[in-house]
Amino acid sequence: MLKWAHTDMLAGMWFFFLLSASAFPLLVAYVAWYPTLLVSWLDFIMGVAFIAGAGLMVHASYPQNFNSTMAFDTLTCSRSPKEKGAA
Amino acid sequence: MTCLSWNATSRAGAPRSVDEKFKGRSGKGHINRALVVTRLSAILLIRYSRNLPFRFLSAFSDMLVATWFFAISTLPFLVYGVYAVAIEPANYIGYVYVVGSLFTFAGLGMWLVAGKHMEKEHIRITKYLLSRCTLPQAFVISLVSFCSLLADAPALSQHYRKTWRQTAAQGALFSTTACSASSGAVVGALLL
Repeated sequence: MLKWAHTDMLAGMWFFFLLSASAFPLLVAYVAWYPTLLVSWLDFIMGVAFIAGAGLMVHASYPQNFNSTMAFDTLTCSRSPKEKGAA
Repeated sequence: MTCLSWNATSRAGAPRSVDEKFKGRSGKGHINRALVVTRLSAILLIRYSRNLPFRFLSAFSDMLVATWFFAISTLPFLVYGVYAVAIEPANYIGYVYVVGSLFTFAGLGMWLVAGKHMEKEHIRITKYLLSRCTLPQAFVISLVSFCSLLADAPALSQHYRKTWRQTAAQGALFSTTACSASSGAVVGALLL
């Protein structure tokens, strides 16, 4: 079985991520074509947040990453419980 | 000069008003007042953030953070809806955006609550999350995207006088969103 399709949830999240990521060039082009248009920037913010969420969801959907706190540790510059235990 | 009576006195002994006290050396009262408020806010924030928020945030798993990203990504729709309503209150497009984004945000709130509990009771809540939240949520996102695509093309194109390039770009964007949401709905249906 392929690594990215271990579970249905993982495969679904990959669909989520790939399809939403495929819209990224379009988001950039939209902003580049119409930089003064409010809608283009709103779409850009929406798309980037959605892609980031989908990517993080893919990471979190792997069985070994259930309940991991990588994003929180990165955002807050704190150490994960595993690292704290090792130290 | 009655307002001076309660206030502190200067070194020379002459009473000073509140405004004079805040003016300081720069003579700009509003700036100094803002600085005092900022300092007080910072002190309060530092004092109380030592316990409450960080203890609360430390339980954030990656899946929960990802769901927060999803929830945040719906907010531009709300801004756009309010903007459209403000410009043209008689047009129903803005209301569709506002109601759709609020409904989507409320659905994602269910995700957040379920994700929070998932850390404690993983198996049972995972089943609940996927069967009761993911499928309806994906369906709603798909429906809102599809409706906005249908509604957006004729009405907003005329209103904003879009060119074919802009209309095509936005249409393709909504189609992509709808496709990704539909794929989530299909996977959710398979899981049921």
